[in-house]
Amino acid sequence: MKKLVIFLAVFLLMLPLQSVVEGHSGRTDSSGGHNCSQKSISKGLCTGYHYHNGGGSTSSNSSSSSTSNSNDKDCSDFATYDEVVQYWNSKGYSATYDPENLDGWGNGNVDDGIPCEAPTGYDKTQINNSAEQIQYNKEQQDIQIGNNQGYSQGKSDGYKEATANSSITEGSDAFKQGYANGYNNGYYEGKSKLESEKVKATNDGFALGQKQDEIVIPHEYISHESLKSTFEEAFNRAVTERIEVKKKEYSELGYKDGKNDLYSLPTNVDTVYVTAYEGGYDKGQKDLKEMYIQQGYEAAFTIVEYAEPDLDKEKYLEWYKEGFLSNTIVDEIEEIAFTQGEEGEVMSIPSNYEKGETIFTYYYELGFQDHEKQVKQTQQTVAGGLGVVVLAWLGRRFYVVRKMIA
Amino acid sequence: MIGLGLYQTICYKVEDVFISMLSKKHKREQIKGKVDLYRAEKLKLREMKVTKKVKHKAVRS
Repeated sequence: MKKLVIFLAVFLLMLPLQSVVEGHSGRTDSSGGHNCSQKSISKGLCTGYHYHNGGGSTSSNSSSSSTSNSNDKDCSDFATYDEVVQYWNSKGYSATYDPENLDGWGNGNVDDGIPCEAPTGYDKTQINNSAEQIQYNKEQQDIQIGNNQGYSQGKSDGYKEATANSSITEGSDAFKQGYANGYNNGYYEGKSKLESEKVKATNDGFALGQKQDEIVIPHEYISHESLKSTFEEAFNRAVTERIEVKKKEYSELGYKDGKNDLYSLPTNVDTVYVTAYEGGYDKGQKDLKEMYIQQGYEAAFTIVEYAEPDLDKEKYLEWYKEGFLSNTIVDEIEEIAFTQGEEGEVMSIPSNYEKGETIFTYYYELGFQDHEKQVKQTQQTVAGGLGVVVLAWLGRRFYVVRKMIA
Repeated sequence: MIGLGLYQTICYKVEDVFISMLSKKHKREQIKGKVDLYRAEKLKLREMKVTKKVKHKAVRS
């Protein structure tokens, strides 16, 4: 038992010494470097010959702290390069602070700030304090600044309805890119803001136009030409609509008076309303006249001889007579009916003349009377002629007898 | 010919009525003789005219 305890103690004492020599896969040579093993190559951790822990330096002071620290990591200690980066970042290492010498060679000397060897195409911006990350951060900063400036300018242009121009000549590419994005967003925002304000200007202008004829543009719209014109348009539209409504009312009143033949021109109103009233009145009078003309026209179908109706005014009688005389269809009916009767046909009213049945019947009978007269006259003529012939014949016979018996 | 014969008969009948009216004071046989003679002459004259017409037609054809 005692021997075993001594053995273990000796073994434990030997362990740290072995760690110094074999803290990583593959032994280093006298220069502190070695060739990359197949395993490390396949992991992408290194390629070819490289140094560790200050290898390659002849200085006796080099890597004194790291080589003496048994917890120092070596590139081959990581399964993937992401693990290397994660370790590097967690330790806060950089090109100037690399106590474990994960970045190239030298005992803490400046290298490129990239631990071990990054695989081709690896995104080095993830490596803290790398030149790529510094550059990336700078670009991001430029993009942000450009975005802010672009947004401000774009919003202003959009609100002013200026032509969109998202390009800028000064600054880095990142700045220009951020500026363009910010400008477009800002321009859209500015336009949207203007549109919403236009809606409000329209509503305000329309509301004012509905109340009064004199325009008073609010201060908030005077400074912006587009908003001002929007307000004015809405105001004028409301005024026009209001006037149109009133004109319509006067026109309808005039029409009603015209139909009733009672002229009552409104007083103390604008000329436009007087004109509207007169227009409506004329139309009403026209319709009234048309009504009497139509009455006369229809009467012509039922009255053979014109007879004055019992109407209030002389002009109504004139209109009535005008309509009566304008009915030329009646003339056609008269002619057709008379001819039909004159020829002794059975009375048959064409369907398109049924309206004038009274007239048709009257003139048919007139024609038929003529027909009967003609027939009677013909009969008398025939009878008379026959009598003459008979008398002549009898005379001849008498003459013959006288001659025979003489 | 039938029509002509009928017409002649009607004419004779009417003439007979006139004869009877005009010859009441005369002798019936004497009047009848005159009438028959007159009618026979007329008939003969008509037949001659017809014959003459037929001959004319024959010569033309």
